[in-house]
Amino acid sequence: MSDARGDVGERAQDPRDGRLISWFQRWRRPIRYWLSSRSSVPAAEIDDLAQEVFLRLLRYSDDIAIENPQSYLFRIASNVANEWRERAQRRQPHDNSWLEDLQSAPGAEPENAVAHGRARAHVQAAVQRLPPRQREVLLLHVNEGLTYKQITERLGLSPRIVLRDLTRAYSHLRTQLNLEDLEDMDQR
Amino acid sequence: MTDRIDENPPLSIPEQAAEWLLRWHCGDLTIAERFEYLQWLKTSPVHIAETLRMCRLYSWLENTKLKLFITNEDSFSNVVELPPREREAAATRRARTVGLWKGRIAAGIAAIALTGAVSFVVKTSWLDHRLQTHASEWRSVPLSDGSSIEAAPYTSLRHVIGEERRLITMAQGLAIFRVAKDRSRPFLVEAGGVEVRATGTQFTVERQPDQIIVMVREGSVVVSPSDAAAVKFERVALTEDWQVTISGSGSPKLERVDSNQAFRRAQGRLNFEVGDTIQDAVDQFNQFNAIQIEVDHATGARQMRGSFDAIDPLSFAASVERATGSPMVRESDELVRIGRRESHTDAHTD
Repeated sequence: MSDARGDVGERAQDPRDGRLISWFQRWRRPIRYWLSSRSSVPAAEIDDLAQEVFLRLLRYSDDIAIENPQSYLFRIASNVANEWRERAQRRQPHDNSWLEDLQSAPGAEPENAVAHGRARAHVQAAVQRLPPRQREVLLLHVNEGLTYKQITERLGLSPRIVLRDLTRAYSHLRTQLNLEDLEDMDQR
Repeated sequence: MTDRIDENPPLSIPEQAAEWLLRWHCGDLTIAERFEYLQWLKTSPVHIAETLRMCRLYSWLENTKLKLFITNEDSFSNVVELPPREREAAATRRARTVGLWKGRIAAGIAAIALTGAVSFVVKTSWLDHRLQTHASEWRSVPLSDGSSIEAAPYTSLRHVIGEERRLITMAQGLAIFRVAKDRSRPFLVEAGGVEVRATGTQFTVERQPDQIIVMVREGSVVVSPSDAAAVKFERVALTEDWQVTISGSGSPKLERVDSNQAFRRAQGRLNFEVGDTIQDAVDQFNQFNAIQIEVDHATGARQMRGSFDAIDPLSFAASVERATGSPMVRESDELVRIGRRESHTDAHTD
C-alpha cells in the first residue's frame, strides 16, 4: 500500500485514471493512518475496536460524515487504535516498545520470511479456487489497480457482473483466509 | 445500494462490505448512495468490523500482488508484467524502510491532532448535560460528583448536578446509576411520573412506553410519584435484589430478582435461562439494535438457553437456526427472519 506514490505518479499520465488518483487522495490517506496503527490492534480485536468506532461514528452528524464516510470511518479507527496503544504504554511504563522500534526490518527475520511464504501460499490456493472469471477480475483489480468500471471497459462485461464477481471474490477470500495470519505477514 | 443486483439473494455482510468498498474505490457513489452507505455503517458495529477486515484484506492483497500470481499457470499470465514490477516493488520496499521513522512521526502527530479533535467533540457533548444513545450503543458517563451513568441503547436523559440536589430526567431507555454518597445532595431520577431517590447506591431505571422498572443492586432507594405524576401510587422503599414495576394502573408490583443478571443485561450481556422462550430473547435483541429479528410463532414459542452479546443479533439468529433448524433469512440490512413468514394475525392466533 505504501507504494502508492510510485503508482500514482506513473498513472498520472493516463487520463483514464483520474478517478483512481482522486480516490487515492481521498481514501488512501485515512486508510494508511489506520493501517499504521495495525500493530497495536490484532485482527482478533477488531470487533472490540469496531464497537468503539461505531460509537464515535454515531457522534458525527450525517451532514458532516456524508462528505466522505470512508474517510471518517478510517480516521476514527486510526484514532481509536492510537489511543489504545497510548493507554497500553501508560499501563506498562517499562515495557519494551522502544526495543520493537529498534529491531531490524520484520521481513528480514527468518521466522517471518517462513510465515510470509506460508501465508502467500494460502492466498495463492484461495485465489486458485475462485471461478475463472472472478479470478480474472480480481487480478485486474489488485494487480492493475483498475476500478470495477475500468475492468468493465477492459473485458466488455456489464458493470453489474463485474461488481458482483469482484464482491464475491473478496467475500470468498475473506471467509477462506485467516486474517490474523495475514496480519502477521503484513510487515512493511 | 441502488445498483445492487436485485435478482440475486440478499448479500452477506462480507459481500456488502466488499461491494461498498469497491464502489467507493470507483468513486461513483451519488450523495444519496453515500448517505445510504453511512446509514449502513451506523446500523451495526458488525458492519464496521467487516469493513475494517475487508480493508485489511485489500491492503494485503495489493501489497503482495506481485508475488501472489507468480505461479499462475493459466491464461492470465499475459496480463501481469512481473519483472519490471518486481524491481519497482523492491525499490519501493527499500525506500519504505528508510522512510519508516518519518512515517511514524507523521502518523503520531496526525493521531494526536485527531485525538484532540475527537476529545473536544466528546467533551462538548458532556458539557451539554445530555446523554443519548443509539442502536447497539452502550455508553458510560462519569458525573462531576463522582457518580456515573451507564446507558443502554436508545436511552435519552439529561443530568444536572446542582448544589442542593442531583437530578436526572429520563425520557426513555435503560440506565445503570452508581451514586456517590452525598447525604447533603439527594440523587433523583425522574422518569415518566416516577421519582427514584437515592443517596449512595447502585440501581437501574428502565423507562418503557407503558411502565417504569426500578431495580436495586446495592443500598436502597425510595420510589414515589413525582410532583407531575398523572398516576399516584404509594411510595416504595427498595433494597438489594428487589425490583418494582410501575405501570398505568398505579399499583407497584414488587418482585425479587437476580440483580447481577439484570446489571449484565443493562451492560449488554443477555442471558437466557430455563423458561425463557426464543421470542423473549428476540424481543430483548430488538430492544437494543437497529437490526430487527422476526421469528415465526412456532419457533418463537420454543425455549432456549444461552449467553449472548446484545449487539450481535446476527450471531444469535444463527444460533437459533442451528438449534431449531428454522432457516434464517437476511431480508434486508435491518431485518432478519427466522422460520416461515407469517401474517401479523397468524402470529397471535396460532
